This record gives sequence, structure tokens and C-alpha cells, in this order.
Amino acid sequence: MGPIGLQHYLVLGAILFVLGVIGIVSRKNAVGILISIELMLNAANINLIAFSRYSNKPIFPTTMPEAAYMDGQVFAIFVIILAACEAAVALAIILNLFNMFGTIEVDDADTMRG
Amino acid sequence: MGHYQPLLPDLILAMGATFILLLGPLRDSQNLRDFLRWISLGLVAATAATLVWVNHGMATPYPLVGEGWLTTAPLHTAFAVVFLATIAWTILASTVPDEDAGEWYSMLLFLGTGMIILARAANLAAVFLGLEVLSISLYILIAFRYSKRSSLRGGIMYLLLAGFASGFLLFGMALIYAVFGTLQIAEIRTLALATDMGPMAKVGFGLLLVGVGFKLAAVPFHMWTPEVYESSPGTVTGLIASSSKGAMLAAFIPFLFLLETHWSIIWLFAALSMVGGNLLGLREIRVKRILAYSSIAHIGYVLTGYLAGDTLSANAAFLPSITGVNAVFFYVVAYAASILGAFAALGYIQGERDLTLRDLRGVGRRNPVLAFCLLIFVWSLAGLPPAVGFFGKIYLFSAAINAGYFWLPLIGLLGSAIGIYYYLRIIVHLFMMPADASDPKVHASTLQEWVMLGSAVAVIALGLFPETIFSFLRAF
Amino acid sequence: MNASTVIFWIIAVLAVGSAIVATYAKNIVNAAFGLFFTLLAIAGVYVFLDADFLAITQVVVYVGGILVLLLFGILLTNKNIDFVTVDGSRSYLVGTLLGAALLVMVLSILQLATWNNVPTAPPPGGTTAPIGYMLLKNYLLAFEFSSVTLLAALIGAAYLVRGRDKD
Repeated sequence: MGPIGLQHYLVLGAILFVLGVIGIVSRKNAVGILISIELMLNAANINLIAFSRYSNKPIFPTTMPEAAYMDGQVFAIFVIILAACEAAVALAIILNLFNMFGTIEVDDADTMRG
Repeated sequence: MGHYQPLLPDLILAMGATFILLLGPLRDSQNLRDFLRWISLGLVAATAATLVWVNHGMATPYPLVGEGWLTTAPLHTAFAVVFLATIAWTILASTVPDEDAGEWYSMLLFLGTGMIILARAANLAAVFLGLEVLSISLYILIAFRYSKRSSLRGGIMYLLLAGFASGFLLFGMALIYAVFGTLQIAEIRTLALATDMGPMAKVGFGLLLVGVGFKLAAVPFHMWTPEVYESSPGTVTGLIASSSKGAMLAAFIPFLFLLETHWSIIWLFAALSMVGGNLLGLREIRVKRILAYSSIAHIGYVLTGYLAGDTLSANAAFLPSITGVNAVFFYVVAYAASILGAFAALGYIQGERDLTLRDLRGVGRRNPVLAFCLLIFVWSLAGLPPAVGFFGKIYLFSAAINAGYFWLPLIGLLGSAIGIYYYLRIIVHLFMMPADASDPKVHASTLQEWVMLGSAVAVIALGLFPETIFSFLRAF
Repeated sequence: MNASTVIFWIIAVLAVGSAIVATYAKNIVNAAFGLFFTLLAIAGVYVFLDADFLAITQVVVYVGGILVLLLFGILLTNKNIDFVTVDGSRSYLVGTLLGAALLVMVLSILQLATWNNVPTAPPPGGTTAPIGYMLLKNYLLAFEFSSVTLLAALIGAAYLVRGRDKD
């Protein structure tokens, strides 16, 4: 176990991503699938931030030198914002679905046809 | 200001969407819905005009605007204008209850915003953001009839699958960012072409393509299509099938350099989609699902053209002046013109239950105008002359042959031949079968009938003068 | 092995362990709490990466916002007061095999690649100023549009939830 380098973050990101995939493939509960989607998005965010930390390639010229490596971090902020949007809409649909039909299992599709 | 001038169209549309929402609560007025409809239409037209105006004369390939956010390349601008046209068409053709008109039109405008950002994205972050604006508006539009179970189910299903796809897309983007150290698509392209791509970049692009495959509903990732298409309002289904996929295709044109390394994935998507979509459609009796499966096949045709790339081949045999990308543009226009109308027409006929072929019986007698329009749309989707869909396929397949692909156009031709069966089945049920005891109900206003008739005429006219679409493209 | 390495390993194990809970827990409430610890641990990872602004955002938005939304989703869609929301999951076998294959593929390719393992110097005054600069300069349009998206999502969500008193 040497010093912590970029690879450690990448492996962590890959493991979380794969756990997210497993959850989405295996779960039926809508909230459960959302939890797994959040895991996937977070895994990608870890990668983005780790790369922006270890990147040695400044982006196009900017008047603020310390901002030159911040691309990945800014992208990660947008990911967080959009994840929040998605969760809000998802919750609205899930609540409505549950209040009307009493289940949020995604697979009961064909039996639920009205 | 001059520097940010190219951002004007997007701002007009997004602010307009907000403005429409603010007008929504003025429910006292009887004609509020019509009022909002015309305002939204005006906003879309203004956006398209500004888009053409600000991009006029900026013709260098993939120039960067707003510090590297959007491109002003003519092809992408043309795509954006086409998507705005589909939004405008939907604003006219959609049926919406009076009290929800504000939300409906504003969500359509937000959807348009997402499309034009995605279509002109020059940065991976812009691709992601545009895609999310588009998807979030679509979730709401799909689930819009919130008192219907299937509608909500369609919304949540599309949301979960789109979230899954975004996860792949984003992870792929993160790896690409890792390898190239930049989010600018143009820079990534230069770097990728200059150096040999490492394994990491290949995996990154592979994950990216998986995400794209989900969004396009190409065959290994098509499972969500029938369910979601069935449960959305008819006009929204048309948008999912045409311009939301088209925006994705437009956004990935700068990634055509991937054909050097990843062509086999795209090849596989195309071949499987053309075969799978058409075969799955054969046994289906619910009309919207038939068209859903057919849309999978159509994505296969489009990807065939995509593989031909954006360069002209020297030893081209057929129609040598049309590149793959131009053929894709033609096809997106042709397909949008046909599928929007087809799904909208089915939406007018649809009652409480899922619409089956049997329910189409008697529509030809009940509402001949609508049935005739539907006939033309389906004819064009089947790719039969003289409708525009026929030329779309010709251009795609000839571009693919020129680029040296042989099997793919062949599979495509076989697939289309199979597909003709279920398209004709729709037509037969529409006109040649005696109606059941209960007469079909068709809810279409006069305006909607005129809009349908207009686009049916357009489908035929564009088929008779296919050059028009290319001259439209050259005008940018 | 110095103290910061030890702390990193603790955080990494916490993140992966609770992510496993979030993925495999039968009870959906447990899964949400698994996600809670994963998100906190990821905030810790961000601190390690000198991304202080992101770490705070992670705690405030993800843990304080999105996770609470999810918990609301669980609690409001659960008629039983005793919190036993059993997730009617499919077999995990297929998913796990698929995931394992994906993981092996990604990890083996990670081994092949060579990485720049020397981090750039972190900005002296923290990352907040440069991120703010970027948001209002290079990413201005994205910043505006993400706020527009939030608005669209909020209005859409309000619209959809309003449907409850309709029938």
C-alpha cells in the first residue's frame, strides 16, 4: 500500500459505478433504482474531480491561472445540479403513481394496465 | 455583447418558456389556450430566425462560441432549425386541456431549448447539459396526463432508463476527460486523430456509445421503447421518436472520428436494429407499438448512413455528391415529417385503451381526411415512392455503399422489405376492413386537421422534390 | 504509510461498503442509509482531492437535498409505519455477474494505462474563487441553463404532484 495516487481514485470510481449498474439491473423498486443511479453519477464525479486534480494540461487561456484546471470540477457541479432536478421529477412521478395505484414496482407494468 | 451574441437564440427560448409559465395562471380568459399557443409559436419562430441570423457567415468548421460552448457550424444550425420546426409543429398539433396549457407549452419550449443546445454542443459538458434539459422536459411531457396510470408509468420508466444511460454517458465522458485533459470536443478530436488512442480512451468512448445507444433505442438497448411510446401523448411520442433522437445524432457528428476505432459497435447497433426492429413489429397488434418497433428499425437505417461519415469517397458508385452525414440530415427531416404526423394522428384516434389495429377499422369512413394523411405518413415510413421516406433510404444506403459497406445496406433492404408488411397492415385496417359495431371516435379540431393535411402534402412534395432539403442545408 | 493514507483507506472502505449495502439491501430504507454513508465518504474523497467547494456541495446538495428527497419518496410511498419496505428485487445473480464482468474489464484496462500521478498544486486560496470565476466566465451559459433546468424541473414536479386531488 504505497502513497495514494490517481489510480486509487479511479478504482474507487469504477467499483461504485459497477455497483450502481448491478443495482439498476437487479432492482424493481423505483426508489431503489434511483439510489443506484445516484451511485453511478457519483462514481463519474469522483473520476472527473480526480482527473481535474491530476491534470497537467491547462484549458484554453484564462486570465485566472488557478482556474485553468477546474474544468472537471465545474462539470461535476453541473452533474450534481442535474441529479437534483432528476430526483425531484422522479419523486413527483413516484408519489403520484403510488397515491393512485399503490405500488412503485417498475415491473408490474402489464398487470397494471388500466 | 458581440462575443455572446450567438447565445441569443437559446436565451430567447428559455426565457420565453418561463414567460409562458407566468402567463399560465391567467385562467379567466376563455381563449387563453389559443393565446398561449400563438405566443409559443412566435417564440419558436423568433428563436429560429435569431439562430439563422447570428450564425450567418460564421462558417469555419466547429468554431467555438461563448468560450467553447456551442458550435456555429452550418450543419448543426440546420439541425437546430429542423428541431425547432418539429417543436412548432407539435405546438400546433397537440391537444391539451385548457387549464394545463401554460405548463404544456412551456415544457415544449424547454424541450426545444434542450434540443438546440444538444444539437450544437461543442463541449462534453454542453452535451450532458443539453441532454438533461431535453430529458427532464420529456419526463414531464410523457407523464403529463397524470391521472392515467400508464402515462405515469411511462414517465418513470423513461426517467429511470434515461438516468441509467446518463450514468454510462457521464462515466465515459469522465474517462475521455482523463485521457485528453479537455472537455472541448474539437480538441478531443484533434488529439484523438493525432495520437494512437490508448485503451482507456477506447473504453471511455465505448461507454459513451452505450449511453448513446440507450437514448437512440438501438437494438440491444431498445427494451423501453414500446412501453414508453405507448403511454405518452401522441404528439410527444412523435417528438421522442424524431427530434430527441435527431438531436443526439447531431451532437455526435463531431465524434465521427470514432469510426476509425469504434465502427464495429455502430455497425452492430445498425444491423441489429434493422433486423430486430422489423421482426419485432411483425407480431404486434397495438398500432403505437408497431410504430415504436419501426422506429428502432429506422434508427438502424440512420446509423448505416452515419457509418459513411462526412467525407466524399473518391470511387463512389451511386449519388457521389451526398455524404453520409448529409444523408442522415435528409433522413432526420424525412422521418420527422412522417412520424410526427403518424403518431399525432394515432393520438387523435386513441381512446381510453391501447389502440389496436382493430380500432383503426372504419376510421377511413369516419374521418377520411385524417385517414388519408395517416396513409401518406405510413407510406413514407415504409419507404415507398413517391413519399420522402423512399429517397431518405436511397441516400442513406447509397452513401453507405460508397463508403465501402456492403452487408449493411443489404440488411437494411431486407429489413425494409419485412417492414412493408406491417405498414401495409395498418393501411389495410384503416381502409379495407369493415368497421366493428362501435364507431371509432376521432378527436381532431379543424386546426389540427389542417396541420395534418399540411404535413401530408409536405411529405409528398419533399418526395417529389428531394433536392429542396439539400438546398435548405446549403443555405446555412 | 502515513496518517493521510490510513484515512484514505478508511474512507474508501466506508464508501465501497456502504455502496454494497445500498445495492444489495433487501430493505429499501437500509439502502437509502447505505447511500447516505457513501455520499458522505465521497465528500471525504473530495477533501482528499483538495476540492473543498465540491465537498461542501456534496454534503449540502446530495446528502441534504437529494437523499432527503429519496427518503421522502420511501416514507411517503410506504403505508406500513414499521419501516419494512421490502424491495421486491429480481435475482441479483445476473446483475452481479454482469457487473463483475464490467469491473474486470475496466480494471484490467486501468492497469494498462499510465497515469500522471503527480497532482497539480492546489489553488492557494481554495477552489471556491476559481470555480466561481469559471462559472461566470467560461461556463456562464451552462450556469444559466442549469438554473433554467432547475426551474423547469420544479414546475414540472409541482404540476405532476398537483394531480393528486384530481380523481
